[in-house]
Amino acid sequence: MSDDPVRRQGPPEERRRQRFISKSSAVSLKYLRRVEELPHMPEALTPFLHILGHVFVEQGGAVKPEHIPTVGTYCVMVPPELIYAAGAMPVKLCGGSYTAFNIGDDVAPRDACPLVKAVMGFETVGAAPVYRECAMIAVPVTCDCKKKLAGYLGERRPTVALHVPSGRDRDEDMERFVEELYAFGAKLTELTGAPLSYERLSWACGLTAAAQYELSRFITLRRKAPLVIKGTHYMAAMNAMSYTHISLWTRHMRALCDELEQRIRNGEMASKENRPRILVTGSPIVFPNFKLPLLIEEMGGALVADETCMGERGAYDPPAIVDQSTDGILRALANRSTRPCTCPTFVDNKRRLYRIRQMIEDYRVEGVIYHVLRGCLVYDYEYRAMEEELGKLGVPIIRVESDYNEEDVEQLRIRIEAFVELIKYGKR
Amino acid sequence: MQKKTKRTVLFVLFTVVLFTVVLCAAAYFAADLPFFQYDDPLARASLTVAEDGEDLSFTYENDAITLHGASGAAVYALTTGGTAAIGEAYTASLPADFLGSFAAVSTATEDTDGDGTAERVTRVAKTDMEFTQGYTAAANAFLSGEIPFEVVYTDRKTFTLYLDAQPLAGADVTVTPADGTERTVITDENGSVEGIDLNDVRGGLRFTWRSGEGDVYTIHYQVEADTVFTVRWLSAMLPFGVIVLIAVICIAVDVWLRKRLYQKADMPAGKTGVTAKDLRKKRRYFGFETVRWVVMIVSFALLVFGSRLTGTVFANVQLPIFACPYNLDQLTGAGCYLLSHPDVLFASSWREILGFFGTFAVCAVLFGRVLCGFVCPMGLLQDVAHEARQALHIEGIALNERLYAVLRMVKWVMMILFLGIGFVGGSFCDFCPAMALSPAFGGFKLSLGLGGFVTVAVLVSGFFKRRCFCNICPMGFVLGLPHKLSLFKLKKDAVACTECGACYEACPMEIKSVFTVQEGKGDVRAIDVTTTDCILCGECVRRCPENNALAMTFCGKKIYTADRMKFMRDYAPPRPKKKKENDNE
Repeated sequence: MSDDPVRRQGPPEERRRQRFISKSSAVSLKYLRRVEELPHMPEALTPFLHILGHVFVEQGGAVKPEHIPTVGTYCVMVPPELIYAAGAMPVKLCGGSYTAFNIGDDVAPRDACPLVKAVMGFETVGAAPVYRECAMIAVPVTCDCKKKLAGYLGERRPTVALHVPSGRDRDEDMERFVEELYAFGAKLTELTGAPLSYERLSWACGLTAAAQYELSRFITLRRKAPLVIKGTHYMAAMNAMSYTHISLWTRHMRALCDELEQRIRNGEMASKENRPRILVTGSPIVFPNFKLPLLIEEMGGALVADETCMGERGAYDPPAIVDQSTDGILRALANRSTRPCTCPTFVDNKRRLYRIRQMIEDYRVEGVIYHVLRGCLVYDYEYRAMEEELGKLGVPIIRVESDYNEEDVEQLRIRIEAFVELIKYGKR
Repeated sequence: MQKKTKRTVLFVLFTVVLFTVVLCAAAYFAADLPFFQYDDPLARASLTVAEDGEDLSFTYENDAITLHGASGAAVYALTTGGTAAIGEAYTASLPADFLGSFAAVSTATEDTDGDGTAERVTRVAKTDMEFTQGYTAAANAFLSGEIPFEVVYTDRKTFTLYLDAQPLAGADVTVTPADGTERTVITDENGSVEGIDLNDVRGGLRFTWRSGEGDVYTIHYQVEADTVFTVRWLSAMLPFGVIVLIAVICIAVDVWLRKRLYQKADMPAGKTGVTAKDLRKKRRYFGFETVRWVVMIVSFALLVFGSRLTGTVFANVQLPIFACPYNLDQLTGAGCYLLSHPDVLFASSWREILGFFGTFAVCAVLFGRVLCGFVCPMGLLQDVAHEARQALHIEGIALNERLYAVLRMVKWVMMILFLGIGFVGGSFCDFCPAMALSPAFGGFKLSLGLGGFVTVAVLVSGFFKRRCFCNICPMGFVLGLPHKLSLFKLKKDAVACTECGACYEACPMEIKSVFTVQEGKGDVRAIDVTTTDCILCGECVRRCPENNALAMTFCGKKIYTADRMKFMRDYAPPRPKKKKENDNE
């Protein structure tokens, strides 16, 4: 189970690898098809699906200009601006592969979350070029699983562990995280040779902010009722961001926004007026683990919003660069990466409740599905508080626990169908 | 329990004694610490006596004073020893014991009104050099037998007339400004005349009074001529220039030292960048920020030069800001002077006391610390310094809670100095950084004491930390105290807020509660987050990326609201295509 090239070339290992690749490609292709088959797909979504296909079906690397090194990241706490400024490109490696999960299951303890198991599976098999080509991996120490993952990856790859504060109100914690970013920046400079100057940082912030501008436009369009784009399509677009150079993604997103604007003008909506409007929050939904959004939309619900880190939250918060200097930008990045983050790994959870409340209002949500990946404790902890808060608002919520396999699909289907019916019935 | 009370009493006593000692020491030293001293105006000034047949009057040509129409006139100067007759002209400089006031008296018997009988005509000319040269609360007065008819410019609104050193009460006096228009005024029981425009005073005034016996008394009064935008104005700016120069040197040294320090400590990348060019194209939008800058610049110009437009109409208003009232050409007075000089405040008339407190109350309720953010000249100075740093991309000093606690201590010290030093015989003006700003721009030659050093500190600290002085400003703190009554408020929607801390980063006053507050009185969607420190500069709203999360309200109406698309518009893609389409249409 190691990276040793001599052993990997051995026939059983190689066979296993080939089996792994063909199996995971097949699963990815199946889900990609299902996403494509959903009605009302905007034409401008095709490039995003191509990206996902390139990475997961054709087993290609990240979509980027040549000779730019990639830096693998986990969680939203790693500021992509820093990596772009150093002349590299970030790739979000949070895995959603069922095949890799099965392999990771042997490596990680039973109660570890499937996301980490999938990552460990990829690492063990040594497949998927997106993972292989990373020159460096940055792991923010958010939850226990990520902590151990950092250690596991550290033995095999050049890995940087970013220590994320567990509270966000104290200035000292914030300053420590700024120091972490400086240290991370120094590591990046070692990798690429490009110093983190103000010019480069400012340029990189401009790159990502342009993407966030398009995303903000997109969010404004999404808030329109009824829905302009299916939630699953949206999730695919957001997932594609993780494997694309940001300037390419911005271009695709702009085209998508333009098309959606045109559709609104023509009155072509992606769902009917009376579809139950559903918000998904909780553990990340990573391609190809798209069973939940697909089920919601196939069961007649309208997935209007999501509050997950591979979805809207992944790039939602823009850095507010107040001080136009190197230090000012790094402070802004540190602030942006931790303070507004609704990840339940932090001590307090009030702002997460407020965030959901705001989203319920913005998107006129009628029901919330709380997605919990088995073993994702921090999200599970927060369910109770969320249930109480939503109870006060009179918005129904269900907790959906799932794993990275297709065994629970039918069970999920029944629960989601019932939930959709519940909202429909409540409306009448 | 008793022991504890005893200890508390002792502690309070000790603190009070310590404060008193510190205050006395500060008052003693601050007055004697020179930063920039102008030489005595008398050493530069000269006096020429010209017998040129013009009306008896003084004129100024820079430092040279000329007495016109001096034939047969007796010339007097006010000296430390009283009124002294002077015979000759002083071509190089004036003796050191002179006080800067001159008078010339000539008497004649003429027929001035053309009725055939000749009256005794007494012509007097008087001048005060001090008016733009230094500051005295009231102008000099001779009040001696040699000058039979005299006017004294008591303050910026009142003239008092004296006949043979006695107030001339209830007399009809004709006032003729330089433009020749005549006006008749009646003096009150103190011999005072009010309502004469400051702008007329600058040009020179002639007062004429006919006594019941038919005697005619005229006096020509001239203050030192207007010096704004002349070479002399530039020389008045000299101390300010010196301050800026020292501040620039301090900043350069500081940047260099920090760079060395970071290199030595082997700090990670980034912290050494001194200056840099921003490659991204800057876009400028008209917004709240623009309004704030325009208001700041206009109010600065008005405060310094405003009286040239309106005279002394607004002189009774005592704006609670740091626009130094030592500059006599101000549009309004500054409340700081009376607040820090209780002796002067309680010695003045009840009308003035009422006016002072009235203005203060109105300002506090109507505007509150909006005055700090929009009007105060010290604020403008610091904002300019901050913008300079932004343009050079030099790293600033980000204050955290611990450093800010230190700054808060300094604020209390300033507070004690501000309110207390008047009681031990000192003057806060010796410390005040505002003394170097408005008077210099007004062309007012003011020697600086400790205040000059404080101004350098204000500039340097304001460069590295935005509006650093505002954090320790005692005047602003007093103004902010009644913020609960103020009509301007900062409201937060705690639900929309993602608590990203951008407002905290942007806030020049380091108000953390804006982003941490999650619940308040009443609606969580409109929590009042205004604090005593808040200067309502709108920076937090500008940097807020969430729709409606922060808003500035006036009388409960939103006047400036956070908006995500506005926040992001700096990064909007250029769209030349659309424009072309529009052109074709």
